[in-house]
Amino acid sequence: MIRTIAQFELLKLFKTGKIWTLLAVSQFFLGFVFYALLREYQLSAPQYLTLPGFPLGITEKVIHPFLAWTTLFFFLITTLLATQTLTQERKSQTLNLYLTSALSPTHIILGKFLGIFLAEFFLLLPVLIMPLLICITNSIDVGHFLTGLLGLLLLQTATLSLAFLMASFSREPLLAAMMIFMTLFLLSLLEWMGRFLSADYQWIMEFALLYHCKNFLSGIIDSRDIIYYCFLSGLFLCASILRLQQEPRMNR
Amino acid sequence: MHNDSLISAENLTYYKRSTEAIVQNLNLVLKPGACLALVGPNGTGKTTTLKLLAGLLRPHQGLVRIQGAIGFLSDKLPLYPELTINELAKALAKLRQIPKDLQAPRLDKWLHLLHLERHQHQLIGTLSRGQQQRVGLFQALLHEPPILLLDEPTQGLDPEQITDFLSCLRDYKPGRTIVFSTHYLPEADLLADTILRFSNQGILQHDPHDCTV
Repeated sequence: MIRTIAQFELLKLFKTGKIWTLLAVSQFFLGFVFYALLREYQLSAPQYLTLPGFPLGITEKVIHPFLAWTTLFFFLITTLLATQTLTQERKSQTLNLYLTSALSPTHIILGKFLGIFLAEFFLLLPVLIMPLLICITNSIDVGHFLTGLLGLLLLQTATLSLAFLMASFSREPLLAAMMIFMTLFLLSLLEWMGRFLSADYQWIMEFALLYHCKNFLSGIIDSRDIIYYCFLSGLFLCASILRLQQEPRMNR
Repeated sequence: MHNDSLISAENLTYYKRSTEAIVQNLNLVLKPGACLALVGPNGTGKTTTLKLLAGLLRPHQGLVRIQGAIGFLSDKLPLYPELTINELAKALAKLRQIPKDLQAPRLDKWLHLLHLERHQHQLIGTLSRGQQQRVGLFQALLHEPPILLLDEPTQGLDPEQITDFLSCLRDYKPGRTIVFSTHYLPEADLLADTILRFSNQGILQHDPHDCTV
């Protein structure tokens, strides 16, 4: 049943044309970012080669920041899609089609989550072709690239589940979108705040969303980062399911 | 406890803004074959009662027991304008777990009965209000649930379509329970066994066959 709901989500997204618009916007914006990073690298590459120690390669100077920009850009896409699938459906009462069917809240949330995750993956695929284009004339650190991609997917899972929870609280899509974006922004800001605190309080950085992605982007797989994202995703999805179970009470 | 009833409600009470009771101490027992009409002006609690029975609202007091799947049509049509009737129907058939071999005949049957065959490949958003209302009814009836809860189902239909639809519901009624709301008493008289008349003063029960209030 989760697969059926996910298929229905994808059908709706592709039929409205929203996914194509998002694809065009993401290709335009991230294409521009990629071009700018590559151009800057080309201009300053001779300097990097003369750096003492080991010189920085194209993976560190182009792909690493490009994946970081992609992460930030997908915060926006996650916000939009999560709002669309829960808050907008509640507002237009199409959520009642699910709630009056013999479907459990677990099926509804997980099905919708899977649908939106696959839609985001569809948007991400053409973006990933850009760094791979470098392989035509140059060589990249494939391990580094794949680790960054894994980090990106784990972060996306966590942000999407958080967005689902936030979207399940509101009836107004605009309000929900603002709530999601503010929460993602604040969770990312924890890292920045931690830098200004004394060493005793630097543990606060451990809760920051992007903090745990840094290792992946640097080509390091740390089990603590994987556990963090899996825990966060599980927690927010469970909370979203519980929230949907309370839907009749919340409708009062 | 009524074991043979498809819907039962005990002391159902629902407040608006925590003080104003919209539905108060409503008791219902609806057995298979029963049809209940909720009649009254706007804002007297018909939609709230239907949503309470459908489990979309939780009562402040009392209990609702439902036995079996429900088909629900709300006052605001829950439709996706970007999909065609056919796409929506196929998706709903899967979501409502209609056996695979029954899906196509069931789709054809209800498209035919609701005069939607010609429009099945048309986007729902491009249909007229009356046609969209029929799509709303189609989604409620597609899985042929034992319990049908319809909020103003004839809204937007022309007189001929209303007659067709009411006769369609009459055929559907045996062995099932239907609860529907309407503004028009004659419509309720045609189909319902029991009529609940909603007014600002409360709910009055009215049996159309002996006309006692």
